[in-house]
Amino acid sequence: MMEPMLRVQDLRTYFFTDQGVVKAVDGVSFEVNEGETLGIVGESGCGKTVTSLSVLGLLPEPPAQIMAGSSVKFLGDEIIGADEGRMRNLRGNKISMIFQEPMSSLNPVYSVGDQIAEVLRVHRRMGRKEARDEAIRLLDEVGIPAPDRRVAEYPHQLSGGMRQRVMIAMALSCEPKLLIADEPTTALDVTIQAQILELLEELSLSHGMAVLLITHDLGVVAEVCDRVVVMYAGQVIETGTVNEIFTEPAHPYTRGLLASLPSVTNSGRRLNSISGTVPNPVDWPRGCRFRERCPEAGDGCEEEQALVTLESAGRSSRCCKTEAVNLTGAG
Amino acid sequence: MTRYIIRRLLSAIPLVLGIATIVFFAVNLAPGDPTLYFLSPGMTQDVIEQMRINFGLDQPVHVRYLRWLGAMLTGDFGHSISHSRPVLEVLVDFLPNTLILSACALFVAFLFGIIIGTIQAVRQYSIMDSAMSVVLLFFYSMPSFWLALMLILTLSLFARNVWDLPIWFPASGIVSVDYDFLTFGEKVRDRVMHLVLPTLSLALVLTAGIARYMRGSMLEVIRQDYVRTAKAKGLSEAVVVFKHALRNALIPVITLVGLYIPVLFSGTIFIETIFAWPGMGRTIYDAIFIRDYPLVMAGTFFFASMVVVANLIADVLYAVIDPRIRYE
Amino acid sequence: MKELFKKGLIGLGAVLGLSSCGGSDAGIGSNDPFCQQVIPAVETFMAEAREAHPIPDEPRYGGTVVLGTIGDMPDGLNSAVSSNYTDAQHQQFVGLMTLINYDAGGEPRAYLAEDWEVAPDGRAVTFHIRQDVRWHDGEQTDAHDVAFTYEAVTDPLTAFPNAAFWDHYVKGPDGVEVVDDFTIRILLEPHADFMDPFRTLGILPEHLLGDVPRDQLKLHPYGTQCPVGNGPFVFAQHVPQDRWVFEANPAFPEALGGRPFLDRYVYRVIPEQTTLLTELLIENIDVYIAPRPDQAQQIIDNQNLELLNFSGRSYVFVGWNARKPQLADPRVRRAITIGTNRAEIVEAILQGYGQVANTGVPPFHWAYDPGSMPSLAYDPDGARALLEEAGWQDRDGDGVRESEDGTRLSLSIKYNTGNQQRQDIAEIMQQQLSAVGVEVQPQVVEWGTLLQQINTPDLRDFDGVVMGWVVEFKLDDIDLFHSERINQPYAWSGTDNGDIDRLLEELSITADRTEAMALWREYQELLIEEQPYTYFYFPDRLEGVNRRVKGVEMDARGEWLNIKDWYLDPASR
Repeated sequence: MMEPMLRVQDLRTYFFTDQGVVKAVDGVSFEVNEGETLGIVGESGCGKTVTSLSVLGLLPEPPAQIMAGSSVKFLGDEIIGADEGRMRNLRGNKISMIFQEPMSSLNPVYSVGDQIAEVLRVHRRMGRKEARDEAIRLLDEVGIPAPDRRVAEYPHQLSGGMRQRVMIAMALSCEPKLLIADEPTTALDVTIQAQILELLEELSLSHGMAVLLITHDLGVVAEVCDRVVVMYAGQVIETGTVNEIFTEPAHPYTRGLLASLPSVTNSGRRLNSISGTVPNPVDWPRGCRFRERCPEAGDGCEEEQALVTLESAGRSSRCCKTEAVNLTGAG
Repeated sequence: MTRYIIRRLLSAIPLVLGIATIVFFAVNLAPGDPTLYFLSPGMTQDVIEQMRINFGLDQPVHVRYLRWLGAMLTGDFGHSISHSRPVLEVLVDFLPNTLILSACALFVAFLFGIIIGTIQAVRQYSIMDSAMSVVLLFFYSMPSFWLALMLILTLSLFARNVWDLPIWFPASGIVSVDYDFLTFGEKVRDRVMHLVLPTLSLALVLTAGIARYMRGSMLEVIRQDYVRTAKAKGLSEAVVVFKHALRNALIPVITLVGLYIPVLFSGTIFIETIFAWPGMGRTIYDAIFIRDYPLVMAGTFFFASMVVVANLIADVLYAVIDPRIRYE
Repeated sequence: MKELFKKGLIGLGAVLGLSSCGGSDAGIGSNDPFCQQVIPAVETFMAEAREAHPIPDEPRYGGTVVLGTIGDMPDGLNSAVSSNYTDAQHQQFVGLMTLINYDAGGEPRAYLAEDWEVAPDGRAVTFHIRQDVRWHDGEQTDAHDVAFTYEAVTDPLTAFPNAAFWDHYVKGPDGVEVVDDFTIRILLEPHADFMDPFRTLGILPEHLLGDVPRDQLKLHPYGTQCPVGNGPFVFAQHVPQDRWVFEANPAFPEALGGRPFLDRYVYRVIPEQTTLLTELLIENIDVYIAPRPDQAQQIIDNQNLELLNFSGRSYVFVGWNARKPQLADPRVRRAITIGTNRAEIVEAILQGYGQVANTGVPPFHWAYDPGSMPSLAYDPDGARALLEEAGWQDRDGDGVRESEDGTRLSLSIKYNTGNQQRQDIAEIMQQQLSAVGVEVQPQVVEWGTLLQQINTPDLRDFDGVVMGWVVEFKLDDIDLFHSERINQPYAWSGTDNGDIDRLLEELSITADRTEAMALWREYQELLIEEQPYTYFYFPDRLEGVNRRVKGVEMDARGEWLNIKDWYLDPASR
């Protein structure tokens, strides 16, 4: 099998604050293969955004610290602990990232064309005119009409959807192998959401680009992802293909998530919700972190739960109640 | 934009006239008049009266006001009593000196203030940040004239007489005594040397305020999402800070340009006196005490106009820096 | 961003560069049409003169002296309208010439006038003008210039500030007779020190100013923009509030010493005394006129500098307004004087550079004779006794005396802003006089307002005022104390004493010094008894001079006295 494009192993990102140590990401492992779209799903506070920022080294080092033992390999090379020069070479170039709020993620005082061209000039060493022309082409590629006019406009002159397209154009400009998209559609209208997701899918296909999509919205996952990683309380609690997760969720939390989706067929009845709230990250509870809220909690749940591999390599679950097929389980 | 500027300038005219009117009445109604200074033994009342007539002071205040207003609107600013020359000539002699000093001080203050504030924000909580805060607070608390004297003492007197440094600065004047005999290059150097101490005296006090403001603004901007985006694009820290963050952080700092211009002008009075800088601040100050009404009026009128223009420049700068701001 | 920054830098550089082109030349290129005509004529003549009188080959010739002081010369060389001390000095010794000047003993000696005769009846003085003096534009200086100057200063329209000079002269054209081109006769009533005005009055050029309407002389550009003189130095440049530049006059008469040794003399205006001292210490200026007493030590300590020190022509006093009920009684005024420890105050304020004054006759004056009169030493008991005698007692035990009708002996002493010495005097008096039961309230007033308060005859809004006075060699207190002048500005004390009137009148006309001496003694004793003022001190004039400037003589006649004889140590040039 081919080397995965991105292999994250036992990533631990802790925040050292005055209130204590926040173990935001506490031993997360997953892989992203070339060309595939992996979704990381979970409710807010589960550590999915911190995970994505850790990959690119975008967390401010004083409060945050990636602990020893963590490993992130991109194309086989370890990038945890790499020097800034190497990281800068990766960012925007081999690994790109787009964010949740396109309005605040674009610099308000520079034109969108400038901001796209900037990446081109830095990483692909283009001249001013060349970069501008390329920016126009990129704007066209992400579906912005009249790109030659738009290129000189400022972010505040564009709609939310168009801004996100600009962000995507910016991220694409150097043909990255991996695009990390952190909740790219959360701030957009539902109709625009669909357009953006479609665009991402298209681009992933046409450019052979892997996408690491972070979201709390299972609907988005169902729409565009190939595989899914479910996170809770800083840990991965289930992995699998979209099909596997949606048809046979292995972990009670995943089951709870799916059950709480509003459905056309269920109209009229109260929405299911998972009772309780996410525990305090400064002080993760011992044993299974979902225990307080789990309807199936019982004996064995007070122990630390291992991530156990199930019927195939990419399928795992961190619940002692799940039937284990292969007891060798990955960490 | 052009229309906006023109509108602003037009609306400034009644403002400046209003200020000039208030100053006119304030100065003219103060006790005393210019003849007092020419008083000496044996001068009788009729000689004093003659002097008053010569200066046009025999008319009642409102008449003098209207005559002044009328003359000014035709560009005649009158004759300076203490300088015995047309007021306009006096202004032409002194105004450039003050403007040069103010411009340099403003430039230096903003340059240092912006750089220091940025460094402090980027290296928040570091030792450099704290050290700079202490130093800035020191300069902020010092009155500018005390600072001026200290600078003269250290960089002029001690540097030459006590520490024998290779470079020491002149303690006063805009040019040295043998300026006219220097080559062009030497002339520029001479002017710059004479500018250093007065500019620093004015600028250092302002720098602290600007740096503080800049630091706060920059800290806020650095936490913004687009700064994270810039970093995620693989840009170097320098580019992220000085291109992406700085321009946004500057927006509130521009306000200070408009605010600091009047502060600068009032500060120049002290500095011009201490450094024997023949500028407008000192001239107006002296003119007030000697009750040289035409000069005081013209000087005030110009200062008020310059404050208005400075605020206009600040507003225009906003639009230049921030494309979200557009004036009709 | 980089664009803006670059533009800012370029703009700044342009401003600096451009200002280097012009700037300092302001003043030479005076825009006034009068000056534009006059200046080229001076340049032409000076060029010729430099050819005709080459610089002698002698090591003392050459160099520039820079002198610094706190004020500009408001009227420059226009001697008809100026009242400022520094203006006068430059008119007498630098740019213009006076008919006579004084030698070290205070006796008149020839200058512009090579000779003079006084008529036997004392009613006329005839001056013979030198024939080898030229104005700096080449015109001959002659009796017509003297006549013009005399008529101008005695014309009320000119508003000559020292009108008292001409009290006993026949004013206007009637008082002057041009006998021939170089002889002039002036008519007068015989009086004391009648030659003194001719020591101070710089003669002005008739060919340039003769046609100017007299009431316009004050505002004429001649004084500060293009003064054409005939003195040892030629006006070169005046940058207002910054500097004056003078150059040596090669055509100055050989008989008077010829061309001065110095090539150039630069007068720099530096308004802050700390800066002046610094400039002297770093040798950017050669002479510092009138440093403060507390700066003297630093000058002494510096090996390259010398502190000159001489008794000046000024005194400081507190003038009492006798029109106020508390101050009407001379005993009260005397009590105040002896209730104040003036010697201590003088020592503290002047640090030894000055002397206690009991009258207005300064040490330089020939009539100065303090040994022969009461010294008014500090005597608080005596003060209390005098106050009791005058009917002032502390009737209610609050520490302040009252008169019989209940008026408190409470006085305000006013002084002007910006003068530390005068403030100190007022405050120390407050403290010392409280011990004898007098309440003093120091009040600081802005200079212009203060002048108005004390000079306006109907107003006289003050009890006591700390003041300074500068005198000439001809001493005359008429404006201060004569009852006829009681409604003129300077009659601060409101003195109305027949004996004083008589003495003042006699003194002003008694020319014979032996006779006058007795009168001076009597006058001063009377003054002490009357105590219209509490005189404080005659401050010394201090001057800081760099030792490389040689030949400097300074005394009561002035600081610029012999500037034409100053020269620079050749090694230092």
